[in-house]
Amino acid sequence: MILNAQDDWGKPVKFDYHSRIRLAIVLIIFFALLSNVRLLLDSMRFDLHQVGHDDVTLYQKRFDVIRGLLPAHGTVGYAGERLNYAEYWKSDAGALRNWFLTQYTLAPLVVSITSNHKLNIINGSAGTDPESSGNAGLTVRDMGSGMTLFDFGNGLRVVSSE
Amino acid sequence: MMILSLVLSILIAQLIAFILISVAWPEMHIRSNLLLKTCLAAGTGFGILSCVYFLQLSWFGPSRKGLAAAQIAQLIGALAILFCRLKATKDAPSEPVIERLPRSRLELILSILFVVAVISASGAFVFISLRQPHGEWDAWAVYNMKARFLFRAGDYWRDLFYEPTGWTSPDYPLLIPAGIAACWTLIGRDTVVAPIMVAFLFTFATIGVVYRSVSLLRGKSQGLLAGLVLTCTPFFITHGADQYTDIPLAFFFAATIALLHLQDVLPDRRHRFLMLAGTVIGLSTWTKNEGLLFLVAILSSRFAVIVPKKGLKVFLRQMRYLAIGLLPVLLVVIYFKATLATPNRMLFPPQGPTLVEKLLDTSRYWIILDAFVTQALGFGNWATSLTALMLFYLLLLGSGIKQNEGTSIAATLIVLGIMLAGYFMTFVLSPLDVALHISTSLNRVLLQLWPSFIFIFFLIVRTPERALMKSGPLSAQP
Repeated sequence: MILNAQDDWGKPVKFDYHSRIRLAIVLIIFFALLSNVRLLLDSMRFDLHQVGHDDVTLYQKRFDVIRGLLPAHGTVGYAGERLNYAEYWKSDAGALRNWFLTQYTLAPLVVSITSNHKLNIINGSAGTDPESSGNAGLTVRDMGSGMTLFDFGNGLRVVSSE
Repeated sequence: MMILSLVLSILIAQLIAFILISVAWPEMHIRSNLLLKTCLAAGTGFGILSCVYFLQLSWFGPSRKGLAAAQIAQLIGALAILFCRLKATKDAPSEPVIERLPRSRLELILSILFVVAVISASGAFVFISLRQPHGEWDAWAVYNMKARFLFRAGDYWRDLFYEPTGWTSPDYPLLIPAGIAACWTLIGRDTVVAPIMVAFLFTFATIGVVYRSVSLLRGKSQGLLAGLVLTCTPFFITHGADQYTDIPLAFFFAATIALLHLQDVLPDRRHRFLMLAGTVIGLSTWTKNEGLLFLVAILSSRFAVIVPKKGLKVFLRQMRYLAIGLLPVLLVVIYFKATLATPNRMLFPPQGPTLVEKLLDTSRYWIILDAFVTQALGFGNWATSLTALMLFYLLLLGSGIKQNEGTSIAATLIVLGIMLAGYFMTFVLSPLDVALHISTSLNRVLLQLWPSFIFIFFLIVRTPERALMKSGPLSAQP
């Protein structure tokens, strides 16, 4: 079977069985390699100086200052901005991300959004609280009723209750 | 030094698996099918390490020395079995040496392109891993978090399964978290390099399994084409670098299907490929809950194609051999589910419409069907529509199913059909918003089947050599 087509000069082009087989093989190889090269070029588009400074690594570093206050295991409370506590799965994706990243950072501590915990982590944005120092310095405030607030000035606060 | 000890911890597990696979392999030559056995060992070894670590943690508590001793004991045991097998086959008549056909020009070109593609994909994988060493959302939020928990918690590792961590799916099996925690235990520290290396191994071992098994069954050119299409699927590589468990699961699915095809096609009366396939299916059930659906799909499809053709007796005999490999791993999964896992939130949601309400809601079916078709057409992030291209390729080259492979191919197509139907119904019964659930997971579950689909596609489609040998267009038989 031969397929005939007209090229630009009106001359018929023979497109026989073998040519079609070759075309099919060439096309699949061509698009495979094109996709492969495109992936490589896309993945190379980032600054190598950013290695080790990805968002998860930087996020984890924020918690270095509070580790000393936390137990080695057990459960601590968690409060974050825009988090829907009753139905957490309906929360804003950013709020969920902050909570899950906190859990990833502090494992094997269980970071729970339920209440009644002796230690509670409040995860806010750095510098949004006018009472926080904003320069990563620690401020300790007695809240009364046996509660103490540790403000680390980087958006992280820990409330300890006796 | 840390990297070296990490490589060693992973390599020992894989060496154990390689020896056991070589012992079980019908041809008792270590060097025969070296690449296929190595790729199978890459995933299987890690899976066995994960099972051993989990059992040790459950029964004796965390211990670096204990785990190292268990690894050494396994290695010695595997070497002893290998020695006995070599001794037993020493006097057996040597198997015929298959004469290697001269390499065609197409084969040479494809070999070069395949190597280039693998190097390029490896480069892309490394760059993505440098950019996001902790992986993507599910990797750090679920799998790597669980690995950290198991490794860091000491005797308190069971806290991971308390209710406040319900969002981490505590019913998910632990192959990846426990395997990574095992590597960290052996090297004595947790580092992001371990999950990256594990993800790399599974991604490229899957390519190796598809390439080599298609090569064995259809010739090297066809194997290279299959390997090339998989290597050059950008979503496969990026998702591997994202460190999601869909790629290890895809590895176990593809390895199972490849081993079952080898069992059906290559002459082996001792059903050794079936035993290996059993172990690999077991490891898929230890990776994700979808593995349990896969187990059901494999058993159902084998029943459907073997019983009418060869009878119930043959089916039961095959299942007996499959069970030898399957049961040890399945017992670990059953033990985990019975002692630690909480009820599955997808099947038993605490909120939302009832099961019957969801089943009777026809709008859900249309939304899901539409999403399946849309995702299938644009799957893989290729430079063009991969589905359309593969259909075009099949139409031009035609099918080349060998007469003795019809049953096996039918069984695999049934497996893929059951898996797709299972995924479809999971979305129908999902307690989450259907559109949101589909947008975040449909492409991932399709990716689990992608290597198996490529494997079966290149068994169905005629090889380039056969297609070019023919003087005319399509005929029923190659």
